[in-house]
Parts: sequence; C-alpha cells; structure tokens
Amino acid sequence: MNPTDAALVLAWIVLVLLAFACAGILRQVRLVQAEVAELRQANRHLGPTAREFPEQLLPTGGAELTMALLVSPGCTVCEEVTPVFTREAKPAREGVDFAVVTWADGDQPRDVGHARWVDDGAAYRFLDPGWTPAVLTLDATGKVLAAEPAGSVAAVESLVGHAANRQPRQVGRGR
Amino acid sequence: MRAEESVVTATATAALAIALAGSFLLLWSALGHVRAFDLLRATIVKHDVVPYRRHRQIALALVVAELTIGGLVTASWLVSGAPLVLGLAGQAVLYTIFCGYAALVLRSKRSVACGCFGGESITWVIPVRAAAVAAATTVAAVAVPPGASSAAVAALALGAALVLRYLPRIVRTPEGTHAT
Repeated sequence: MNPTDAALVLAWIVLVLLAFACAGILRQVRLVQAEVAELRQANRHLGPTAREFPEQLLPTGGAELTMALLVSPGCTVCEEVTPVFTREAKPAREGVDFAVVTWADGDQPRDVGHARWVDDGAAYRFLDPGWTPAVLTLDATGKVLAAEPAGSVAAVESLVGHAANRQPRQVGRGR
Repeated sequence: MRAEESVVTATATAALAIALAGSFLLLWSALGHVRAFDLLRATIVKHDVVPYRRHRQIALALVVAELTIGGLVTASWLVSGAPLVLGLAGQAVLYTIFCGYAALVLRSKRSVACGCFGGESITWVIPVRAAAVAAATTVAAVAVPPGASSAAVAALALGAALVLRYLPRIVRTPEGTHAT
C-alpha cells in the first residue's frame, strides 16, 4: 500500500468514526431532553417550596444532632442501606435523632425503627448534596455539619458510629 | 514499502491513535472528577469495591493518576522527539486496573453508575472499553510508528476518543443510565 492509499483508508476510517460519534451525540441529546422532562416532573412532585429551613429536620426529644439518611425513590442502593441505618439507629445512641428523608410522593410511611420517616420534598431538596444515598448530620440550629456518601453497608455503619461520638458546633442556621 | 511493513505501520498507527484517545479521555474524565469530587467519592462508595475508610484517598489518587498519565502521554506526543513509552506504559497499567475494577463492580450486580464521565451505568461495555484501550496502548508502546505526530493520527485519535466516550450510550440498553 502506498502512502496515498494509506491516507485514503485512514480518512475513510475517520469519517466512519465521526459518523458513529454523531450518532452517539444525537442519542445523547435525546437522552438529555428526556432527563430534563423527568426532572421537571420530579420538581413538580417536590413542590414549589423555597429554600427555607424545614423545621422537621431539627433534632427532637432533647437530642443535639439530627442524622438524616437521604434516599430517593428508585435507588436500589438506598433500599440496601436503609435497613442498616434503621438497625443502627438505636435509642442507646444518646444525643442523636435519626431520620430517613425522602420524597416518596404518597408512599405509605415505612417502619424505620427508632428513626423518623420524613417524606417531604422541601426537606429532601434542602439536604440534597447531588447524590443518594447520603448521610447528613445537622446540629440543633439546623446547620449541616457533614454530608457524606452512604452507598454501602460499611459506610452507613461507620457514619452512624462516628455521629454518636460527635459534638455539635454552635453556629448559625443554614448550610 | 512492502505489504507486511504497511500492515505493521497501519496497525501501529491505529494503536497509537487509540492510545492517544485513551489519554484524551483520562484528561476529560479528570476534569469532570475535579469539578464534582464529592460525586466521585459517592460513586466509589456505591461500588463497594475498596474499603470505605480509604475511599477519599482512592478518589484523590484516581484524579492525580488521570491528570498525570493523560497529561504525560498527550504532552509527549505533542512534543516531537519526546519519549512516549513511559507515559504509554503507565496508561496501559491504569486502563488494566480500570478494566479489573469495572469487572469487580459488574460481579456485584449492583445497579450503579460507572463514575467514568457521566451518569451511565456500569455495563459490560465499560471493562471491554478499558481492555481495548489497554491493549492498544501496549501495542503502541512497543511499536511507536514513525511520524507519530501526524495530522492523520490526531484526527483518528479525536474520532476514537468521541466514539470511546459515547460507546456506552451508543450500545446501551434502556436501563443503561444511572441518575446519581
């Protein structure tokens, strides 16, 4: 094969690859359009609430901290770790109030042991770090002290154990 | 030029183009990981392959490795006469690790995001893609063709990078995306 032929073959290969890439990009655009539509739908479920602090996230029963497990509908890993969180949420862990926060939109409240089941779009939106499941720690003023990924059993066990020994910092409300 | 030599040169050129595409993808991926480092941590935790207590260090090491190796290969290729072999060897090792890691996540049968670029789920495409890039990088490392910085290689590499980047979307199944 002479160099001209080789260049021609390469040029055709590039053309074919670019055609594949274009097909992929078009598919991506369609996917983005579908996801935007889904997000719009989800936002309607979450409700029109502003970024004001949802009071139900504050620790109850004299606790100093709220430890919230943030889970979203359709998240299979969330289904795996929620029982671990509720198992670890024992009343013996004094000073920590446990809550499972979601926006299940009409689902029946779940039995989450000693934790509270908070099905509230505004609370979910306030805490949402951009991924689920997540464990968030809030102090008595409502400040988010930590937001950590909780996508495994080991993660949830470690985070809940750590929170039980954590002292809240006295700072202003807000994130 | 004899026919055998032409075949060898074409193979080495194609391998180099795919290897370069791999380095572009490392840089592309690293930028996304730097921009959303916490999302990368969350994804690694969800994979449940490495110990939870080490996930932050591993995420950091991944970003450093992507930037270092991707930058080294790209820069070595751009600077005429610079040795490519060191970067290519590192890249072959890195993609082999990616392949093994993705295979481990696949074995767990968890429906989780890949964490490579966007929200696509881990499917068989991910380890196959990593293995292909590792193989091409190895070939390129042992047979860097003459005139390695030609425009044809650049065009081929860019095309290959786009195809490799969107490969999981091109061949994806309906459930092949994962939100967070």
